[in-house]
Amino acid sequence: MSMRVAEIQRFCTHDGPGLRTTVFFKGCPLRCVWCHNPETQKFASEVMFYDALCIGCGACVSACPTGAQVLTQNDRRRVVSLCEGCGACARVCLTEACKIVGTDMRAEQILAEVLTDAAFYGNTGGVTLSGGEPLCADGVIELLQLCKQHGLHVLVETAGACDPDTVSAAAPYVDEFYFDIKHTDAQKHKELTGADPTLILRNLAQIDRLGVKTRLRCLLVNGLTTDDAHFAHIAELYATLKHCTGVQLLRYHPMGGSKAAALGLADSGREEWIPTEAQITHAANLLLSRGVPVLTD
Amino acid sequence: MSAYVFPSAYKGGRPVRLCESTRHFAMESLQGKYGAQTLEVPYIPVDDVLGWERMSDHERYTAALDVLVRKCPVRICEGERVCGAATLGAGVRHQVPVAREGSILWPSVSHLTVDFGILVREGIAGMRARIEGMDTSSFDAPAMQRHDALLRTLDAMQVWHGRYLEATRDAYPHLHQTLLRVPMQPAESFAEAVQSLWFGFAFLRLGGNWPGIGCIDRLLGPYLERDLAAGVTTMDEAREVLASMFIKGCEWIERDTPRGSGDAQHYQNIVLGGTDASGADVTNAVSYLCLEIVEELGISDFPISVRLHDNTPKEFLRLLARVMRHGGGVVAVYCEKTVLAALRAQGYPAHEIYDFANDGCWEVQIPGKTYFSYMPMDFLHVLLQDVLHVAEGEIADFADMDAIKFAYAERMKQVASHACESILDGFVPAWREGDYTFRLQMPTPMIDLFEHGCAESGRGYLESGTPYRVLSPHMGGVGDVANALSAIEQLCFMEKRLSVKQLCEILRKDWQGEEQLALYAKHKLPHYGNGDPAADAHYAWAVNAFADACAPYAKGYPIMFPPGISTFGRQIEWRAHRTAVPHGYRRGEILAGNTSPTPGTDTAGATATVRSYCAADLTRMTTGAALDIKMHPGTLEGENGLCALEGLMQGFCALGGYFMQVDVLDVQTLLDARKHPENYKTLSVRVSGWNARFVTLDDQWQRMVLERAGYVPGE
Ligand code: SF4
Ligand code: SF4
Ligand code: SF4
Repeated sequence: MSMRVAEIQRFCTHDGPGLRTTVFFKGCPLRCVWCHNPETQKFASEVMFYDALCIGCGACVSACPTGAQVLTQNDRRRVVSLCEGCGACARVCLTEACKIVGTDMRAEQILAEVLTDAAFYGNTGGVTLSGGEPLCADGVIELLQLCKQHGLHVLVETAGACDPDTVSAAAPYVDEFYFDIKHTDAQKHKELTGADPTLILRNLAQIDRLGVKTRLRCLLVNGLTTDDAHFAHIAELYATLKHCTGVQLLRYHPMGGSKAAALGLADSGREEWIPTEAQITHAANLLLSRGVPVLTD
Repeated sequence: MSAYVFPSAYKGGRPVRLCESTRHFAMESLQGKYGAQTLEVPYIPVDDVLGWERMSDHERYTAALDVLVRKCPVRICEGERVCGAATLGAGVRHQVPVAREGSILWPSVSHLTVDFGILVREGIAGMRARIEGMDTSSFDAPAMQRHDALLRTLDAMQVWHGRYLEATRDAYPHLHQTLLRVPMQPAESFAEAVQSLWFGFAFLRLGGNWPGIGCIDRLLGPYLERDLAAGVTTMDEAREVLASMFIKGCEWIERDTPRGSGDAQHYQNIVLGGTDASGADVTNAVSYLCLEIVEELGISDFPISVRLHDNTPKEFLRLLARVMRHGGGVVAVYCEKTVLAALRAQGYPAHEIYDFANDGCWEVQIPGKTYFSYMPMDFLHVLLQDVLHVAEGEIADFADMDAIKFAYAERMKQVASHACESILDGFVPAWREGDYTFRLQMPTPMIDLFEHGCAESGRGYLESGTPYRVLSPHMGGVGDVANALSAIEQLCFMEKRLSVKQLCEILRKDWQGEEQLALYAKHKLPHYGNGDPAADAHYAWAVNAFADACAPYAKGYPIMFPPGISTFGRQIEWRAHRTAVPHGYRRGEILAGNTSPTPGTDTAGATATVRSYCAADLTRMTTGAALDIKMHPGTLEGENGLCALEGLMQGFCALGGYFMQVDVLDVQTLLDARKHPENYKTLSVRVSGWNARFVTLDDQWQRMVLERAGYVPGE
């Protein structure tokens, strides 16, 4: 069974302990308004187009079977609605102005890519599955099994919006989950991500019941996820978990913008969403005062 | 809180362990205070020496040295804990700082690590007794001249020592106390050992020489451990003493360095860690202190190399990662297993190889026993011109890759043998008659005191006095050779887009009219440095072919010709004669340095680059093959950043690397330093085997560093 991979990144130092290889899967059921990885939202492959790199050679126009690539004297554009994500344009583009996101790979192929860096993982590093939503990728269980069989430290970054059976099946092969909590207020969660949080919270509880270590991750988006009530609820949530090591506070950064443009989407990035240093400290103190460890690394 | 901030790429800043006066001393030294003083007196005139015309070269040298030590400025810096200073400006310029009628008389010696242990263990008195007691009955007249010159050089050191005794007597009693014993007598304590080592080092530099120090922890560690056990000193005290040595090592930093390939390249190497002949790890308290000092002060004037092996202590690896994270390229690493295997294969006796150090950059040598010189050669040019005839002559066609590789390998043999034989013709005039004595270039009695074999043989360092004479052929351009071969294979034989001849015709026209194909070659073909097996196979083949080409000279000569890979900075000057290359670059572009990938082609990250580099059998590159890795500080934050650096080093060793220098650079900082050099006097970067303060690099070099740090011009 093959999975659609957006990217495999090496020498990652922000996706779990030590030096890691991170596999980003394509496809996510949520639609966070601040999404910093918009290229991983759709399950289908798609093409990113970087205007600045285009030299107007026209190769992509001839290659495109659907007429999605337009290049005339005063018009250069890609008609997203016509694009079928076949990747023909990216294959002929010489400047990397067109780039395909989404390569189908079998579990063994992904494993082989991950193992090429095994010599560098030492005692702490390993593989991280991320996304998109890695637990929505068909065949993820097989990949997790293979990783474990090869003695890798396995970390999964999830937002928890996935089939509970997948969570139960995955848990035995995962050393640690980094579990995103977008918002603790059900209504706001729905507004901000398009989904109801019930399933997500149930999956979190299930992981904990199965005894796997988790770390909760909260993205601070100024005005959206910075209210005290939210952090009070995070503390309550933490208290219900036996195997949670603490909460990591992440800072919103409007870097999805350039990617959104390359995808032909409106730039959803907003400067005013960047949290202040004081807000971060405040949230951290609030958590600490309620006995929640605040993790930094 | 300290008043002094030493620059770091790490946002957490540097630790503070040394006392404020030592930090003040460091800041002044790094900002060029003592360098400026040194340049005030460039040399000592020796026009008054009587009988000069009748003297032999050696007599002139020692007579001039005698005047030099009596007349050179004596300098004692406030806050210093070791004494002695190389105070003459011509030394900074690689010359013996004496002159007649305003003309400098001799260049000086560099690219070597001497054995300062001789002075530390024997003292001047012991060295004198040993040399005087030597059986010279078989010496001819020239050998006796050299013998006498050694004793007169010891006299000079003693005179110079006497002046420091005098200068410290009243004002610096603590310095005076130590000088009363060393370096005349063997050192007994750590403080004495450091003083004695420094005195020998400063003496050689006073005479203009640029020696390396080598395995300082093996030399000084036992003294410190004895003192610590006896409660005579503490780690904090010892750190202050040793820091003084590091700070004084900056006394050649100039306030306004002429810009060029950068300063801080006086080959003052230090080597730490590693194993001994029994396989035991030798890391000791001094190893830690050295790294702690550079972690705090960011001093890059002593390029440090750590010998890594399977049992390198975890805490030491951690400290090493912490130092690396600050940037500046102060510390690089060897994979000891590879180096030892290479030295063994070269035929060095087993008991010698564990002492290895280097020439000041990274070319491995047995310290205190090796004459070293190397021959840099551009093997990309050999491929482009001698094999493919891109620049001129009739362009050849080739039926397949084997034909190209065969022709190239044959040409490599000719080039290597020409290089080896012409350097012999230059240095060893009678070698064809079987006499391998080096031609006398100049007297070197200062060096000879610290090189084993010279006193015993009555021959100088440059005259075959040392047990090992190394003339190392160096392959340059290997990353581009791999990429060129890979591109030819893809374009001409796999995709069959055009013939080799057609490709070469396009290259002759510098890709003009074929810009699309150039882009294709640059972006779409497999490149060395990305862990791509196809491209890496070409690299491994080229390394092997070069080793084979040097093999006829590997054994059977009393001189060694061990191969290595380097460009240092020559990729800049080599642009001038290189044509366009099959992997899409045009004439005049700066291509790969050392064993690194072509700039802009390595897109798969540091681990992939290391994997590619390790794909060749590097034990065949006896003097070394350096890989330069540049990283952004943001990837190295926190505990994970340290683990990542450790992982990178462990992988580098596990996969059989040779030498790796990691620099941590932030493009924004470098750009700001270009705009406001005055604010970045002490910001150092690893250039290409050595460290340099960024602001002392000229425009070309700064651009090269920036591009390696990921800067895209025009952004
Ligand atoms: S869960 Fe992650 S990938 Fe999915 S929409 Fe939200 S931010 Fe984007
Ligand atoms: S991916 Fe395929 S359909 Fe989409 S623009 Fe490129 S060539 Fe056209
Ligand atoms: S192939 Fe690439 S460079 Fe050429 S027009 Fe298309 S996007 Fe631009």
